Amino acid sequence: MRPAEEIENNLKNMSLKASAELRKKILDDALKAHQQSKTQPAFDKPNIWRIIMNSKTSKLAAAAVIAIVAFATWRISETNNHISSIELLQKIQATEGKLYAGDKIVHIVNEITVYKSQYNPKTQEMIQKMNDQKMSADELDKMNRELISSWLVSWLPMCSLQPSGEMRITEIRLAKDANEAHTITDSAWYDPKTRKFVRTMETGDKVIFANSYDGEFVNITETAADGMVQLKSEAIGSTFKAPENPAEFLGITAGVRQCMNDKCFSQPVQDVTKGTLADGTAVVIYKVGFPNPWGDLNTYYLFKINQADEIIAEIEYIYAGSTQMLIRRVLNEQVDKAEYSWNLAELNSKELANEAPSGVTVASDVAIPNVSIRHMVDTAKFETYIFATDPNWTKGRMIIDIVDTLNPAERMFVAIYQPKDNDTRLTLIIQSETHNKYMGALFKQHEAQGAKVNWKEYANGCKVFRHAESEAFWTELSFKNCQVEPSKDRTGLIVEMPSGTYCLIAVNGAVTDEEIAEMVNSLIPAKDYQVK
Amino acid sequence: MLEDEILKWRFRQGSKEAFCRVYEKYLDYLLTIAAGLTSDFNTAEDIVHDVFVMFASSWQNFRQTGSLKSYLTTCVMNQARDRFRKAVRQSSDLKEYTSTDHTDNLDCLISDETSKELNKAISELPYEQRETVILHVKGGMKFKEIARLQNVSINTVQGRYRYGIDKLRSLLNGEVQK
Repeated sequence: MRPAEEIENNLKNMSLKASAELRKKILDDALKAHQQSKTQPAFDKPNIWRIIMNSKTSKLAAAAVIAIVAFATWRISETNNHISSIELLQKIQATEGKLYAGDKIVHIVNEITVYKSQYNPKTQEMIQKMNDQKMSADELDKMNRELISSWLVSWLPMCSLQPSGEMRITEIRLAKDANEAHTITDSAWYDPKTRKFVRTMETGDKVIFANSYDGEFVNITETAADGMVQLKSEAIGSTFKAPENPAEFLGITAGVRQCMNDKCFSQPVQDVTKGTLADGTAVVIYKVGFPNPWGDLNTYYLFKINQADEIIAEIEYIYAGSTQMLIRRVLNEQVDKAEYSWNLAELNSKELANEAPSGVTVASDVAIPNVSIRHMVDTAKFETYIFATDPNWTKGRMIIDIVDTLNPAERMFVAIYQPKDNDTRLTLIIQSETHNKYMGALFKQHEAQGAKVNWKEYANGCKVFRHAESEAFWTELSFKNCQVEPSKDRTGLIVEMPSGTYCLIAVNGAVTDEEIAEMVNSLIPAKDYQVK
Repeated sequence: MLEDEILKWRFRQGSKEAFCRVYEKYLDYLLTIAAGLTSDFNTAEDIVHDVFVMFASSWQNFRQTGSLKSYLTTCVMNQARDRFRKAVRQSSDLKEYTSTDHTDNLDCLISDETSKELNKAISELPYEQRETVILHVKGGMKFKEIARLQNVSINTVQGRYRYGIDKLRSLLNGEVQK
């Protein structure tokens, strides 16, 4: 009698191989069906990236995608086969929140190791190279891919609390000249009865970041451009309300809440495995990432959950096969007294980093919502533009000031114009110095290759470039980032300003040529808007 | 699994290359499944052809969140089942679809004797048992998944599998008269 296992094995090993003729016949028919299904190639999700990368002029529009992706850092999402990212994050934060309870003061310590950054200096060099040298189409294509891939790199946001009660997003990164990894000790004390807290981040004997709430004031450190750290205290605003769950802004899960509010990208948990940490702790490892436009998943997070207590033990952030940041839980305990006063009085100047740290820095305000035009003009190191008259289908404007991911010393500005109640055409203006450099370099390269760029010039000297297929792609991402369902007839414009800078305009719907002309002609330097 | 997730994402964007990769990756596998279910290479060819043509034209509406492999396997299974039912309707003789005569064109594609023997034995199984055995062993599907597809209880599926394997053992040992 043959055992069942043998039959199963034989069955498993049995396989047929299609002949070359059959292989070709089925493929030809299937591809024909694939092609025929593309009834509306411009807007029905064509293979945009293939088109962009194969077409000389359309590569220009690839630049537009960058803006969107740059402020789409840390997008996580809906569902996959077994577990959704959103469920995972909710579970992580809910479990973490339970730690901040009890009669005593909760003390939590994490260790954050920031590894040498691999991308920023390189990408800046790439843009420079594009400006300096004539490149072949293949070289330019390769450069585009590398640049856009590196742009997709994101950091885990570190949240702190502002006097208004709103979250402030900061990020930790190595200084450009840092040659080795740095370790930061992230300590938090929280009083469940009064909701007062202290959070400090220290490297060596220097405090590089601190945030506290003492019942009346919110105290927070600011890092100046020269790297100096100063403590500022501000009375809480009338709208201040201490958050219910301290895990939203303290400890290892600070920032996860931001992720949970964002359902733009349907990235699943890509993998779930079991593993062991260096100290022998058994963990379940969840891999969550965001594939780049070519489908490479080279940027991802590993959430390592302790199997015994289901509390998160480590978060590892990986880019291009290398660990960029590792957050490791060190201690959970209940104590009678915090090491610092709630008002951080002990943080005198000798404890604060009183000179520019050579390695790690904390970049405050990764994103500042609702800034004024004055703020934009004063902060931007390039000429910014704004509509002198808002488009007549919109009813209000908000400007967001975001860190320029590839050049952290610079800022990116996104002006969002809300549509009127009877309209759906949300409108965006996106501007950054990296866009200016990158697009300028791209146009220069195309001209050097003899490609003609079809500009349409307007009365105020602005020139508009459009490419239907690629604009469908980047505008889709733009609107999804604004939590808005992209319409099928959305519009995207790349505008070269008289100052030689560039801005992207996205409208979530169809606009007539007259409306485009009115909109573009309405663009004025933001500094002049202030004068008016 | 990861590659499939990326392929699905790119396929949804309309990528022809992604489709081609899926095709290359699963053609032989699906052909083997289809041949196992139908015991007829020509029918298996038609099924796989129809499945890939349907899949290629569905990219705009493709919203499958589960495993790509399972999805394609299920498509093949549904096609095979439809053809089986059609054959049953057209002929009162169930052996029309299960006869070993049909395995002849398959035999010439299978090189080793063990597989030929096994293939003939599989064609002798009642369709539900054959489907269960093929989906579980070749398709790697869990009994729970098969139960959902066949709309029967998991116990029924386990029973079909057990009977199917037992019958294969008997057939392969010459204990059952064909």
